Amino acid sequence: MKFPWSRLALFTMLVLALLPPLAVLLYAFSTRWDRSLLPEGATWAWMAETVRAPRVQAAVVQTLALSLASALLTLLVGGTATIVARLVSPRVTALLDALSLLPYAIPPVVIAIGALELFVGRWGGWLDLRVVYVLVVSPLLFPLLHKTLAAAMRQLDVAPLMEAAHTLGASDGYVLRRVLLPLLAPALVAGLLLCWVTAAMEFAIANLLLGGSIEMLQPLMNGMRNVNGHLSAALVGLSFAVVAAMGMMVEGLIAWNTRRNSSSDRPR
Amino acid sequence: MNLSKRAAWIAAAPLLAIVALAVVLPFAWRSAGFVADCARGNECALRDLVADSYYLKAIVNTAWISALSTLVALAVGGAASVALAEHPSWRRASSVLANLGANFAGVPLALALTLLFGVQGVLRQALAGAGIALPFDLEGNAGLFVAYLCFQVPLATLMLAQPVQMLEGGLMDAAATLGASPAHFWRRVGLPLLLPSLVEVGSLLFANAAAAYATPFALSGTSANVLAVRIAALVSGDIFSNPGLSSLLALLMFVLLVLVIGGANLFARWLRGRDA
Amino acid sequence: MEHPQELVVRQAALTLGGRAILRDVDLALARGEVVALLGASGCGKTTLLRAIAGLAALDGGSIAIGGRDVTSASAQQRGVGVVFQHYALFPNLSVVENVKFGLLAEGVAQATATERADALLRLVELEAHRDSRPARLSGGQRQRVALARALARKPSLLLMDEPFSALDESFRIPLRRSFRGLQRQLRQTCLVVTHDRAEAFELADRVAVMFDGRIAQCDTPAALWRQPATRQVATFLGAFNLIAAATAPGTLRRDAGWWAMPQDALSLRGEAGGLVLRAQVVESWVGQQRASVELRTEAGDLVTVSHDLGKPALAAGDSVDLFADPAVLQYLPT
Repeated sequence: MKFPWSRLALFTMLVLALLPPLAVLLYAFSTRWDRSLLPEGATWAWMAETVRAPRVQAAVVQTLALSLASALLTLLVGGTATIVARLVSPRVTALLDALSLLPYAIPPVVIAIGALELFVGRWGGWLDLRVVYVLVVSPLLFPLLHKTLAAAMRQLDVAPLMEAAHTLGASDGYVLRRVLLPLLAPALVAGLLLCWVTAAMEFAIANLLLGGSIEMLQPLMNGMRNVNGHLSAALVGLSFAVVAAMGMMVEGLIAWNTRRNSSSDRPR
Repeated sequence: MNLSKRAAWIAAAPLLAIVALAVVLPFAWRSAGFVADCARGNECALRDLVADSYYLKAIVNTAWISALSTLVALAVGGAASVALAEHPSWRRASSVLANLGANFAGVPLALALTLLFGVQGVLRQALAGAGIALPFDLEGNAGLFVAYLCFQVPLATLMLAQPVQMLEGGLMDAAATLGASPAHFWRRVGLPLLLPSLVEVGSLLFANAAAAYATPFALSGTSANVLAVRIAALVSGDIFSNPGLSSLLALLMFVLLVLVIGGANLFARWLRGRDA
Repeated sequence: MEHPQELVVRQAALTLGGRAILRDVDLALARGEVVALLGASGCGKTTLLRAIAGLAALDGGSIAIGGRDVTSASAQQRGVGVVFQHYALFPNLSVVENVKFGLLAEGVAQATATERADALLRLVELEAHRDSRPARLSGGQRQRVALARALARKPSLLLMDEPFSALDESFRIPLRRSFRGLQRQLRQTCLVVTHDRAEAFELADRVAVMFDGRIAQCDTPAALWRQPATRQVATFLGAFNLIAAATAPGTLRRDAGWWAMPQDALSLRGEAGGLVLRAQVVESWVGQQRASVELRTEAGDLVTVSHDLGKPALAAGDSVDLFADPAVLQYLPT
């Protein structure tokens, strides 16, 4: 069915999605871009300077470490909850579905302010700021993990597998270990990567909660804009190269998982 | 080890604990603090809210920018999903690119847009050279709207991909063989069937836009007049600090979002029930 | 001007993903005729149907409907009615709204459309369900709605993709027989895709047997029974016994090829003057009305013979003589 509007819309979406990153990339690799439509002076200098800057390296390490910690916490705590709930309890699954909507109603900025007052202001001495950060970011990542795992489990059609295992005398724990978790491994990894990237790109909590004490990547990028836009652009370019690579890995994992688990005898 | 229903609760307990501690507690604390203040008859932030139209403006701005960007995103993203449903070979690449676009929000987007459309922006100057003046100022609400579109549209495409795909193939082919134009099909069958998903996705897109902090802050600092920025700015400790008002605004945003998301879910469920 | 040929497909070719799905297919349907496209899954029959409907573009060849070349026309413009394998009924519209859909799209007035829809629903005996949603109906009822919907615009050609395969076995026969009655009444030109041999033979005036993107033989059912064109066709039709010509007895011996005979032509009783084969019983299978006995001839061919359930059963290992009238033997060089 020929429907040119849909293709125009797709084109528009691609422009909106690609124009900004492209602009940033060009800026990161050019000496200047203020005189004409095209940038001038292709150079690696900004990239090199960015990568070598100790402040950048510190921020990168901090950000990667803290966001990985949040992602792992979400995977462990949220992943367990999602998988077990989907196996045995529709009620808990419904609760988790609702919990997935919570970050949409209570946005990160509100959480950051609240956490600032409670865990830094009032109870500041108790918990290390980094622990607070990881604990506060983790629930925000849960919706992503939940959706990824739920989709994978739906595709897997778990109930018949569990029934077959029971008739063969296997306990749930055994099936989980030997069958389900291996089958879900790609989805788990995809979920982890998605959470990791989302946590690393988070700005509100990184800025408001950690602002004064620990410098994270996104606030650093913002700060650098006023000093040297090219450096900021280089940093953005770098981080997005990594994000894009991870995104493709996620896509690849999900596609591989789909191919692996779907039946092969579907006609055409 | 066999799994019982109780096991599900036990497995979910750590998650529930973290959510209670990290999300519910801080929010409830501040909201309770605000409500207590007002109940005691003290200086209540409610007065500040209505006294200065600045904050009411923030609420209005947030509402219309979120709503409008959501509607445009649903239309463009929906149509884009249809194109992808018809061309399965484009799906993988488009998905990766849409993901990039949806995630490029915040500081990177502000950097890019300032570069292109800022006062000294490359595209702005190029178009000015050709005699075209861009109708929006990046620092103002219109600029914010354009920025929001840059991540809302790809996000809408991603979220609508699955619902649209479930529609494709059989029904569109059937309509074609019955002599219906695409417009006729979408009007009588496609859109009605897609409506519940559109409503649900729309509510999430609205919440996504309303909650956006990084993009407006990175574009215009604290002068961007949207709820998210105001909530943060009111506790920054400078002369405009007013934590009570910040709590009030956060509470108002929560209520608005719960109404939108909850309402959308109920509406979608009703719609789906009708077609059964 | 009368066009005796309602559908003419010439040298249709289609390649998908590097694989040739349709290889120079030729097919012609006369007005009022029913042709069944019979073949195993993957042979290209559904692809051919979709190409005729305008849902898939040909890489080569042409399609003419009612004398008009439609090769480059879109599906909307072809004036063909299609019944899809899983019916593709619009779930948010009621039965009568589904049937009216094509008419309203054409621009026909609501009242006229409703009248015609109701008339069609009476024809398929579904007027009681006119206001129900498809989800409430049984498989057979949905199939009839799909049929009524496709017929609403009075298409010159009706295409059906495995129209009865999604139905329970007990409904298939009555429904297809009532469809055949309807088709005769309306004199509707029809192309039916099916993998079910019995269905093809009952519904069609001619059957086109398809393998691997090509039509191997297109003939009336009677002609197919008597004269399959190739061994592949004979094997697919399943009701033939084949013996290798190289090891055939006496005057039947040839260098290569096969002798085919309809299954019922080979029996345990006969006269010595005709063809006699000595064979050993392999296995006996009980059927609904007869027993199917598999035997291996001395030359090594596997043949099947029907045996009355009333008679004493044959056991594996029994040696018997099989008789056939040489007149029904058909030589197949390939």
